[in-house]
Amino acid sequence: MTKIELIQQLKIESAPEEIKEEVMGFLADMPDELSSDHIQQVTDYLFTAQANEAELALNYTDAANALEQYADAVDRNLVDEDRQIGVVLHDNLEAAQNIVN
Amino acid sequence: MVDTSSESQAEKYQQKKEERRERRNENVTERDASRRIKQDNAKNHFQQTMLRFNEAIDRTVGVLAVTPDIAKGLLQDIAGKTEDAIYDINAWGARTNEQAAAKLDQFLGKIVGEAQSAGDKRKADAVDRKVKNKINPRRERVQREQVKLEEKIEKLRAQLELKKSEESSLANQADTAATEAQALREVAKGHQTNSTWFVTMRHRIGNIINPDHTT
Repeated sequence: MTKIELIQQLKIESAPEEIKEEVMGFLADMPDELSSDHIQQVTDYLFTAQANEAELALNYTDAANALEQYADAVDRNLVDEDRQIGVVLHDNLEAAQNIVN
Repeated sequence: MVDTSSESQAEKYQQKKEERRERRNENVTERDASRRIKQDNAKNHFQQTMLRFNEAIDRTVGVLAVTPDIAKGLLQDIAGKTEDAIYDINAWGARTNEQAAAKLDQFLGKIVGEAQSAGDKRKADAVDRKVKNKINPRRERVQREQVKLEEKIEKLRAQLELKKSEESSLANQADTAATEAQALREVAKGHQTNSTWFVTMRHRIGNIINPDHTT
């Protein structure tokens, strides 16, 4: 199988630009006529690339979740602190009223 | 011969002497009567004066409406002045009731005026004492408490400002974290898309290697 035939079979042209560039870069070092060994290399490459992308997606998702949890915790903490300050102010208001009365 | 002319002269003398004695006695009786009348008049004046004084004292106490202690002080004061007035009234024993009444009214007016002033002053003093003994300490205590409270409020306000500053910083951090999380999620989405594409290409190359294998 030729490299051009492989490219057509994989429908690389319709892939996103980023993937197209990466795959074409990987294939650039290969000869025009591909052996079964080359095909296996491409298969391994695609497997590894997919695994890397999936792991990156998971890692970025985890990081995004952690940051959102931090933001939520800060918001909750702020609300709690506001409530505590409100209680202190209320106590002092009562003390002031007791003195005036 | 008896000197009848001399006897006659002696009888006449004796008779005139007797007449003068009788006239003298009558004059004495008249003077005594006049003196008694004057004494009675003076006594009546004095009694009327005392009655008017007593009534005036009652009126004074009633009009002033003061406390028993103050009334006692005023009565003692009035009693002292009353003695002076009685002395003066006795000194004018022979004067008319109208004159005595006028003088008495003058005394009473003076006494009532002085008593009124004394009563007002004592009332004012009592108010001053109350203010000094009861109201001022309470006012000072309230002022001290107020100062403490203002200090506390000032401290709380400072804490509140610090909290606000901290909160503002934390809120900014939270916003930044949320924005960053959104950006990371977009990146993750891109990698997920890439992963899907690589999966698709893996299937396609699998079909090339093994056309019979259907995925």
